[in-house]
Amino acid sequence: MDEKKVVLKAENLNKHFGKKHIIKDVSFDVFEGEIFGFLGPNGSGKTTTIKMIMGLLDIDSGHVQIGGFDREKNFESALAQIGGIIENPDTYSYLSAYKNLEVYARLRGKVDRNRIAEVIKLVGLENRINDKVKTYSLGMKQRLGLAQAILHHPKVLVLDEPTNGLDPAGIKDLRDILKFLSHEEGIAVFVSSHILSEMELLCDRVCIINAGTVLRTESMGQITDSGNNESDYEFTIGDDIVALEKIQKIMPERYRSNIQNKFILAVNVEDVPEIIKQLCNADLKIYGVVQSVKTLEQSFMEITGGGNAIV
Amino acid sequence: MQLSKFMRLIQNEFVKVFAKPIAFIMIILIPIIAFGYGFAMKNILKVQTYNSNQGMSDENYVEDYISNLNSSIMSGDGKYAQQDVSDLKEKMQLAIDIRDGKINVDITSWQMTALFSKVEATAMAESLKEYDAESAAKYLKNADAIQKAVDNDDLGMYLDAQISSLDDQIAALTAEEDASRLKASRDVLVLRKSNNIPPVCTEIKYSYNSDKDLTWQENMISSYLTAKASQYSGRSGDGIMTDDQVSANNDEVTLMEYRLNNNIQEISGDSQFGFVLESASLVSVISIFIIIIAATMMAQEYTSGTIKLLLISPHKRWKIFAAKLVSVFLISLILLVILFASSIITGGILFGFDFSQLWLTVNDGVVSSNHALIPCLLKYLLACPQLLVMTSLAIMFAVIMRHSAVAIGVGIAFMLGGSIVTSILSLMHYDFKKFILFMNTDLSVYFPSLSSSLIKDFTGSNDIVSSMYSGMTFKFSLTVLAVYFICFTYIALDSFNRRDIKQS
Repeated sequence: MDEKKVVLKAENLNKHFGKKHIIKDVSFDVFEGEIFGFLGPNGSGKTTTIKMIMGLLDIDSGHVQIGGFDREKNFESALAQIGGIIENPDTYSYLSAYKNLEVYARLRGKVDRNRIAEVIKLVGLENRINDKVKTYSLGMKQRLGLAQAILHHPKVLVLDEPTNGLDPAGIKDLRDILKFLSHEEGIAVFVSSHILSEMELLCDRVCIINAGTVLRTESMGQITDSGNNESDYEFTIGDDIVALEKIQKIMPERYRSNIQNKFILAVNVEDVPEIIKQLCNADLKIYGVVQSVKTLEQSFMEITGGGNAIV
Repeated sequence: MQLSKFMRLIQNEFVKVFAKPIAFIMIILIPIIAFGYGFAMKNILKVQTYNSNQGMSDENYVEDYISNLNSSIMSGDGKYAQQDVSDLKEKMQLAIDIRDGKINVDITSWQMTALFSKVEATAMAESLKEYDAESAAKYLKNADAIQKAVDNDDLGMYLDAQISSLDDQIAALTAEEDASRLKASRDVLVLRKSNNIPPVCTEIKYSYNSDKDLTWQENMISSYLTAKASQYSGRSGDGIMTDDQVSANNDEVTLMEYRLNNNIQEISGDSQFGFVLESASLVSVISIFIIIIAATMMAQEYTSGTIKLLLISPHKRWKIFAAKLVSVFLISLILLVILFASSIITGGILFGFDFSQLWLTVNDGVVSSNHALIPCLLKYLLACPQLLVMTSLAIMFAVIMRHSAVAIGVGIAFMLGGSIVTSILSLMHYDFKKFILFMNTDLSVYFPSLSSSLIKDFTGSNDIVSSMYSGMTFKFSLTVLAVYFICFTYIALDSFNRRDIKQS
């Protein structure tokens, strides 16, 4: 992991729209062969950051390096290393999907017909490739957008909210493709999203951004494991009102939260039998005990302070 | 390498435009518009001819002529000199003889002209005999010679008689008297004789307003007479001619002589290549198409969000911009070629195919002759700077508006409004008008030889045009167009470069 090359580097990016300071000192590194999640609530500056990386917005201060080339000084070399979908999969709807890919291939140069066929197969559009794009569903447009984005063998693939409008099967297909691209072909995949359950399944590392500031950049394991000594256990206890009263009386230091009769208590593994005993002694009926795994969502809520953008 | 990258960008623009029905609609519309224009022009010419004829028969003309003369004689008995009245009476007698079938000649034939000139000569002899017997005898001799020529049906003899009569008249003039008109008339007769062009009698049937029925030679001879007289006298209608006017007049005389001697007609609007020359004014239709193409090419990329695809590709923004500008211009050139081809075909269908038409120009007294295709090509070539400026204008609107419908609307409103306002301003005497774009778009105004004779008739031998464009030259207009092109392109490129792509 340590030897891997940084292929996308953002350094102290800043952006103002008028007097508003939208992006504040955003920095991160993306390594080859990893899927990097860029998470943040709506309006936190994800798309703006992506546009600054891709050259659609000017950078007020800071630097972007793509494959070792500075985006501003070496625009053409830098942009040759990157592909992506920004906001929507934009296509010429009056052209067929194949024509769209041809247009994009000419835009990029050095893309032959074999590569186009290869990419079509990868995204699974063989059957409809000669249809006009205006007849496509959003899911198929996403596939076509992905095909365009990887046509020229980019080192970095940037996807802005790629799961928007996809059905569960589509999301799974996308996940498989992205994992193949990053882990097999060594492409760095940079994915922005606010749909955390998907990111949890997809990403190797995540960067959490809120109100234009990077809050944390960590591996997926680190972020969900957020450093507590005690694990949480979920106890299902009958008669929740009585139970709440008694638990807060017996062990207030262990109580974390409850949703009706499911109580989250902070307990070490070795203490579980003791706790069950105490609860039984207090005349509470225990229907189940499960170790509670912290999800990305919970971490995210904690880190962003409830997920509200503070702009 | 760089060039091939750029060529691929242009290829993409072509693929995108020609995948749309609008491109084919334009390609089909141009021949239809050209044909409609030709059809309208043909019918306008027909209407003019019809009005002058008014469906009258020759008998009606003779009858009219007699009654006109009759009323002149009756009403003007006191006013006219005795000679004139007897002249009128003789002419009326001649017309009555024709009506009654005593003399059997066509009223527009040269014999008719000859008979009228015989009447005039006789009348002159009558009036002169008392104080200048010698001249009177010459006139009588002339009258006899004319009668002889008519009897023998010999045009040459008639022309000889008239030439020698004019020689006598010129010799009889004193030094102070102006001989230019007589000398010019003598030259006309010599020209008629050497090319066997019989004079057409305009006394009864034709008036000067309805010369559409006369042959082109006859029309040209009347211009030739005026120009030749100016050449002898050094004066035009406005007074003494300047050196420039003298040399222009000399060139005109040379050219007309060449045409009459070699039987080469001016390229007229109702001939195949004459129509092609006229059809160059349809370039304004292409200007409108340019606005639509530029809007589809530029504004629609913003509307559909595909501009992002272009801007995240490894090409600097100005190259993407330049590719679009070049593509729009190339497409406008394609449309121009289509217009040219369809005009040649339309001209052939409506006015008859004639690939032997010649185009004459004169420079320092030397006439050069080229195929009629040459002026057509030159005139279309002169439209190219205009198309380039219109392209930059259309791109500018498309970049600034970023919405194709708005860009098309504003663009067309600007073009139509601009040309209407300019056509009004052009008649006024504001000095700034020469810097207005639309005053400079039509570069062919500086090359009158590239107009068909029809347009020359309409504009009155370029006098109106030259007063409209006073103080302007070809180079001046070209410079103004270049300045506009640079300004439009700069504004568009600056806007294209500067603008952040905030929303999709």
